[in-house]
Amino acid sequence: MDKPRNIITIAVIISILSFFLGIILGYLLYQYSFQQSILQINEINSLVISAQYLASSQSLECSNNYLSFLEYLKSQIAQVGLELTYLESKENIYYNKEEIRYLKSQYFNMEYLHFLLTRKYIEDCNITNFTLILYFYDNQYCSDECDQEGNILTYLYAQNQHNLYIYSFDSSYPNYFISYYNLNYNITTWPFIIIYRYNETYIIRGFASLDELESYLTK
Amino acid sequence: MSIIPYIILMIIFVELLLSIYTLLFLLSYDKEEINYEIKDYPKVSIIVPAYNEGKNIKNTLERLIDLEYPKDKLEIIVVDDGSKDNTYEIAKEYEEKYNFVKVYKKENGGKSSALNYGIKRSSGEIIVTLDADSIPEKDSLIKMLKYMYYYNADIVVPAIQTINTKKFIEKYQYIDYAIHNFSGIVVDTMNSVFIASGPFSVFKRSVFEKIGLFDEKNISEDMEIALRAQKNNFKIKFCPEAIIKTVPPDNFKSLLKQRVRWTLGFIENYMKYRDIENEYLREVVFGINIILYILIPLSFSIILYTYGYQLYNFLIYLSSINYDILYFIKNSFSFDINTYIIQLLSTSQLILTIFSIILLIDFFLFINIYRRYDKSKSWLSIIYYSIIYLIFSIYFNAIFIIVALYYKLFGRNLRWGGIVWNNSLINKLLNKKYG
Repeated sequence: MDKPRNIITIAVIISILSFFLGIILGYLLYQYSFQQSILQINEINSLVISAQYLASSQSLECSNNYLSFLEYLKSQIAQVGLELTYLESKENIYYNKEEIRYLKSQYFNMEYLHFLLTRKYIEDCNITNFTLILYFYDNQYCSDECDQEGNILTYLYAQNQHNLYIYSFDSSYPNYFISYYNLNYNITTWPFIIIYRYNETYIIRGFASLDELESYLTK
Repeated sequence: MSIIPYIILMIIFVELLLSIYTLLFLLSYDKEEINYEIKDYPKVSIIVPAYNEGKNIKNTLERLIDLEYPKDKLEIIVVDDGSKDNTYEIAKEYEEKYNFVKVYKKENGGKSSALNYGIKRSSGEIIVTLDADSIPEKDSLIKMLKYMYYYNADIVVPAIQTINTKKFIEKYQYIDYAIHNFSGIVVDTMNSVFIASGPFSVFKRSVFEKIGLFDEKNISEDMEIALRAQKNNFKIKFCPEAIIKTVPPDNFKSLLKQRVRWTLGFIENYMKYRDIENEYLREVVFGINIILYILIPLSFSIILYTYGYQLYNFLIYLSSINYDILYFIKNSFSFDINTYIIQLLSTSQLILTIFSIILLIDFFLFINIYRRYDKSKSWLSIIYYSIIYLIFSIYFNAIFIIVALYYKLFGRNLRWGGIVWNNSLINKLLNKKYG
């Protein structure tokens, strides 16, 4: 074989090898991240569940320690949420619908458990200036508008981290509590927002601007 | 599931292949020493077609007269292609002064017709074509003739470089020509040189005697003659040591016009010579050019779409948070390693990283080899020009190709010199309908 042909052949072989090495390494990394996310969810889940047992078995200690614990749990759950956003992004060529579905379902359970714990804390300890927001979206029926609402809520949370928690749920997921909300609140349009603020509940159907949401925090 | 990541992967694969090939080529590149003494200098006819070159012709003729070559074996033929300025008068002064300079004037008919006019009136056994805005080094002709005899070649083509690098667009073209010269070295190893560049190509007269003169209707006559020669099994060598300086387009509009013509020329000539016998030329050189003509506009569209979409989202985002720029900046700088690792796999960044490292090694090896031939610029200048090139090349080339494809499909005509190109699809359809 002549020299140019040799170089072309070797270049093709090396390119194919490094290309597939990249694909395989990427897949291994994806699997690693996925496993890490499962471990992370399990770890947080056990913490949330133990906190729930504690809250159910005795009256809550209305101290800052408990709130700090809730804050810590929330930040951990938010981290999982962020990872999930990338795992289910369009750019992820290793996207596996079933795997993501499993993870998201676990993630929503955790979010809801955390919501229940926080609401109990607010009610039992008479916290008047704390707001909880349940945000329902559906990527199939509301993509851009829900993304925008999500951004506004993230911003709202960043500005009110010490007296606001936001929980996001995909209405199309079959978790029992999501179905319960869909049915009970007749959620057929998205975004759908439920705001809890010291014995008061507000419902917003459709897109809510930042100013509108801020007004609920000061009511 | 979006198709874009897969298109990106395909583009990355092609780029990876090209960069690995380049790396292997550069690592194995061994410059051959040409030890050849010309005992009996052949008679050389240099044909200079000129149209409105009043500004350049004096300088070009001075440099030709200064060429290191026996003057009794040299013939310089200036063909004024119906200039409207004083090109003819200036050239005539040299004819009166030097007996080896001949000047002719003819009606405007384009560069090829002027070249053919000159070739028909020449007497040398070696024919050299020279654009009136190009300047050879003193020893360029000797170097190229040595190549011709050493390799027993029929045509020898030089490396081309820009004279000026003051303007941004000239700096860009410096690297563009450097890459062009490098690809000349690469295709030469495959005996697939397919352009006998206008600025200064050396032909044996026997080439024209067998395959005929330049195609006067072809928009890229230098490519056409080289491909015709390749088809007739003439040997074409690339001589990187002979660097011809040329005046580059000094604004984007002129550059666009030049590159659209080159792209259209490639398409026309590819269609004409796509079944050429030389398999390297047919499969590798043509293949890579066609792939690049597809992938460059494709990459450009993806970049444009992605940035456009991101910008749109960004503006919506800003409006939804009441234009709180400080919040946005604060969040842009927050870094989380877990998220980063996940992001790393999101756009096949791993392969892209491998590709980037290879590309960087390629770049330094390339500059190292290129500077063996062209020492006119320092390392720092080349790095500076390369940054300009890296930033703009994808956008510029995509625009050149898209405009050329537009012309190929819908263009009514494109004028260049005395040639009117009107070989577009729309013209063919209209001619078929009404012709």
